[in-house]
Amino acid sequence: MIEALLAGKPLPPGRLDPDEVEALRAAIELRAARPGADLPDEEFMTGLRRRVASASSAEADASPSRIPRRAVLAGAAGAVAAGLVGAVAENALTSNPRPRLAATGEIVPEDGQWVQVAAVSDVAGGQVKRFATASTVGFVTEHAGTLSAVSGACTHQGCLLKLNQAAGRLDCPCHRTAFGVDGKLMFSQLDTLPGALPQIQVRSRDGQVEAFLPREV
Amino acid sequence: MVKDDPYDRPAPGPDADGARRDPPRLLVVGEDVYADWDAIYLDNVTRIYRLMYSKVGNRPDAEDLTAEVFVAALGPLRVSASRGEVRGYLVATARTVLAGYWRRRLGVEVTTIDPDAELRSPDEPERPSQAPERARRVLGSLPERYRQILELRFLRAMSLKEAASEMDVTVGNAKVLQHRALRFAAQAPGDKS
Repeated sequence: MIEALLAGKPLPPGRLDPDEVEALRAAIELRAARPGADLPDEEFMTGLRRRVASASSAEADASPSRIPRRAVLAGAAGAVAAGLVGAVAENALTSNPRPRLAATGEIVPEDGQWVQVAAVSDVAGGQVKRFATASTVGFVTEHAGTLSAVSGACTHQGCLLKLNQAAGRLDCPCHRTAFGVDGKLMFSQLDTLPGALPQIQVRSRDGQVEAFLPREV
Repeated sequence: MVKDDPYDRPAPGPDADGARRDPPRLLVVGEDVYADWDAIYLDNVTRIYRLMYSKVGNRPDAEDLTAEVFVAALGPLRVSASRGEVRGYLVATARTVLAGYWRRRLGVEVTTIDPDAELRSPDEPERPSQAPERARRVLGSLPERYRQILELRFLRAMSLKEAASEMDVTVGNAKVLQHRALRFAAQAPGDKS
């Protein structure tokens, strides 16, 4: 059991004596204690994201009454055992959706020009780089070899978003609202959910990232 | 009297509970809600994975359990639930998923999740784990040879053979030492200091 753990393998099924259970618990704690050992694998995260996305769209297509409420609550019975979490779970099953504004699409200036906003190396491997010109503030990044950029102004009231590097999102300093670096709204405290951030056209040229922005006057 | 416009209110922190208790004025501001399931996933997956990893200590099982939590929560959990409710529901689901895993795998719950403790911890999915610090305390409380074998094997990832050679003992001795050290560590008051 301990050797499987040390080899990074799943724990094999079996039965343990009580003192072996304690030793295994200590081993798990030590194994999890290597700095950075508990960071999830990028490939796993992307795969599960896809799985959740397709399962959630299947859920959305199904009628809301498809899962009998009684079955839902029975399924969450373990959760409901803890009073606080039980109340939370109950609420989470029943609250009503908030209205939301439509996404705002792409910013394509009528009289635009390509402007250097970052070096390609600044955004390699999914790093996010903020840029600001006289007309536009935005964030540029790269994912799987594709460059993308979004407006850096919140679609609610135009407050300038702050990059939250640790959580990989753009936070609005004015109201608790956050967007993904792809511009999608992640969460918000507002009663009408703000739309996604507009996309900005970007391209790579001679090791530089260029964005299509309004011509400077 | 000039009433404050809540739009001009300084930004509350991500979990500024005090701000939520302010009476609503011009704008009714609710709790944070997610835009969709993708947002729920992105905001919570790292936290749930790290929680599971700390409970099972290996990547394949932690990945399976994380997936199980999200798949189990997908049906009953509404996207319109508040961010706090979503977090609470996912942690509660993680608790039952982990309990089921141990029951199936070993017939006994080797580790458990305490939802209250989890929900009290700060809302920072990428915050450095407290586990290394705790492990250092446990190791520090062990007799020298026990500490050494566990450090070599668990923190420096040496094979039994390498660890035995480093400590100048036979492989059989290293194995016995490791077993005793783990049992000793299990009794060590690592969380109490």
